[in-house]
Amino acid sequence: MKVELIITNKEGVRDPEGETIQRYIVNKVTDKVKEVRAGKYLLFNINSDDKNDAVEIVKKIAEENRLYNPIVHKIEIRAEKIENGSN
Amino acid sequence: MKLTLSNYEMEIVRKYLDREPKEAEWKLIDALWSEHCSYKSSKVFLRSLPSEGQNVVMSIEDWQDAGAVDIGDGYAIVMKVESHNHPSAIDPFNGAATGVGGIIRDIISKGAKPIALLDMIRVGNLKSQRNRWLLKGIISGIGFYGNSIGVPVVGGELDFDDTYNDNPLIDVAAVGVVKKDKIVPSIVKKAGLKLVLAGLTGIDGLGGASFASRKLSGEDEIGAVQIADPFAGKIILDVTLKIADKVEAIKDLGGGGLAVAVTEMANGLGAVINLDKVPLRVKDMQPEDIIISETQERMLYAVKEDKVDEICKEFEYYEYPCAVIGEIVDEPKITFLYGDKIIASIPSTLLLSPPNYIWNISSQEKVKEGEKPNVRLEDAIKSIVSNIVSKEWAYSQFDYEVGTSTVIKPGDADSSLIKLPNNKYLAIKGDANPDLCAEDSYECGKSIFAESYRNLSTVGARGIAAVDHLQFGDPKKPEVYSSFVDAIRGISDSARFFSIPIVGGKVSFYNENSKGDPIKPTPLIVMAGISEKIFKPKIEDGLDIVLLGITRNEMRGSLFSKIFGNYGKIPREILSEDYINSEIVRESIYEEKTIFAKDISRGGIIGALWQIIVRGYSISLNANSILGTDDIIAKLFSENGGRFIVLTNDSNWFVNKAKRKGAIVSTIGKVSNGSGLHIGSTYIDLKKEIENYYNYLEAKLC
Repeated sequence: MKVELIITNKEGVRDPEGETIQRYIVNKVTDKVKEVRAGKYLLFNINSDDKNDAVEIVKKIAEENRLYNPIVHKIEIRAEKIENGSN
Repeated sequence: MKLTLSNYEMEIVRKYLDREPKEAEWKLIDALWSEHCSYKSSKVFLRSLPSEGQNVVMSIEDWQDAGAVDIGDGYAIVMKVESHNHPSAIDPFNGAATGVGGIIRDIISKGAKPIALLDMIRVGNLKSQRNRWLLKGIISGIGFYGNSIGVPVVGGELDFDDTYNDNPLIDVAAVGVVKKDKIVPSIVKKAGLKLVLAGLTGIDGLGGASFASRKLSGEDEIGAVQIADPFAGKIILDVTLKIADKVEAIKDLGGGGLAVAVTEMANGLGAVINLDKVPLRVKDMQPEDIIISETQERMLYAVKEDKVDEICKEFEYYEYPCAVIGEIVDEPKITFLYGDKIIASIPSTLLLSPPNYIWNISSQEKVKEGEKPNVRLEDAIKSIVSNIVSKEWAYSQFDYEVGTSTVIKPGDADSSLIKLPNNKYLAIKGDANPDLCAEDSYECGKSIFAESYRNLSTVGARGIAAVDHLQFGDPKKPEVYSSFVDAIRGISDSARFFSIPIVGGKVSFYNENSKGDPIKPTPLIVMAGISEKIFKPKIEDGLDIVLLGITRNEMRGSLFSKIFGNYGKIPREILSEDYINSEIVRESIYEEKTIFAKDISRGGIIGALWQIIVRGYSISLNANSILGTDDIIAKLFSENGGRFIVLTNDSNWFVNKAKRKGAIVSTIGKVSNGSGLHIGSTYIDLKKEIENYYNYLEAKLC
């Protein structure tokens, strides 16, 4: 299974990195972009056929080993099968 | 509405105004009268600290953001210490990073260029995963901010103790340098000046019950979280220094936001602020939230009307928000308007004079001396050195060479050394000793000041100014308040003895664990000193080890006692010994007789010698030459003050010097290549402990 873990600041918490990218790069190209948020992206390749199981594994890693700070960040976990037959 | 004001305080306000204040006015008063901003529980005693001196250009009085001291050749240094304990406990990365941002803004608010940062960090037991996570976050936060804006972290302390399990202490100190005649005040003296605000105001850093926390997750603490933005911090730094001599006053926006910055800057005059002119990060902020928001990376400038455009132009270049938000007026009232609506209007005098408190005092009980633990000498030595580990894991994450004026890198000596623009050298060091303070706050206050003084001497510098940070539990508890007052007395006695003024400081109360037990009293001294000479410590095979000072059997509060059981007498600092021996060490460095010097503190003489052993040397120690006590444990592990070891080729120089000055010195051993300690006829191999010294933190944390 391919599992993606995305860590971003919660809504309402500032994201200076996103703001800076928007102000100094994006806005020079277009005025259509309302907001840019930056975050951290981790990709796990997991030995498992079960989507829920794979998601749980990543959730456990993130929570128990403090890959993020639940007070400041929110996480999103997305899992999909890898289509090359390996697992 | 959550206020920290007591009923008694609210009555004072009602009586003074002869009306019931509006909600926004309560918030304004609450911000200014908070312990954090008003020092209401400490001010009475802070006044007793010596803050005057012939070199003092600017001191702690009248809301100045930092103290300044003359260093000759038309230059002054500016120094300040701050803590970010509570925010770091919630969000270690951003809490520590914003702590760095805040202290940098304090320095630039005087028009000074920040040249060095120190961080003094105390966390709980590293056995707990939470503490390991806290420490990692704190260190990376400090590195992230300091490295990004290009101010080197040149030193600090890193310490672990169960007392900080729920309440870590994150102290940062900064030093800046400025032309003496270019120092900018934080206060204004006349009406008519425009108030210019740089930076966006947002909802971060509002009190717990704020709209921010409601909007987020119901976690009350989110309001206290502030996100560090070093990029904005760098803009604020560069532009502020560029415009410093075009403005009349500069004030950093910290605790209490605009409410506190405007009121303190007006300094008894009045101000009218148009909240609708404040550049906002989020739409639809409530006017009263704009008043007390604590968003980072903002500065307030008092500017003559004809200079306003010039000032904001500098910010425009970086597309950084800058706006005139009001002006200083004669009528001594602080007024916040939104459009034509009065949101709050309170007399300056009331805002600036909260009731001061002297809480009840009940002195600490004197403890019995207790039994001396029975420990084999070799075990004792191995335990002590295993408790003193390298902090390289932490400072290797800091850019300590940015700015290229760092002479001694962190960990290489007892003090940092930085080149100054006037071709002198600045030494700076921070010291605390919570284990001793837990035993006797007065002796501890005296001793940490003396220790800082000694530390500066080990790199050839003489102390010229200090700032203090007083960190305690709940001041309303008589034994806590008693230890606070005692610590101030101790610090004052030392400061007066050495004629070193306290030019600034900070107080942090209510540091407790989840059970409501106060932390060990942790006053901290940061001292700056000047040396005319560059000094880089070295160690060589064959050097003599000379001990300066008298070793006393005073074991209470020592590292030995901490490991094996507390016993013995409380160390009494005899300041004239610190003074005389420091003078000898400085002279010996100046005359190139000393090539390595270390003060004796944690771990006693063994702790000091350990710093030589870990650099790849063996030591043969003659314990009989350690003068002052016959007790072998005290000889090796006592931490009483006033002492140094130095490495030299010319021990006679020291003997003669001591005779002339009335000091006690003796040659106690020799350095050779190797990795152990010869003591009497015993050889103790310390290879394993040396490995532990270098790997301990990394192994624990990674």
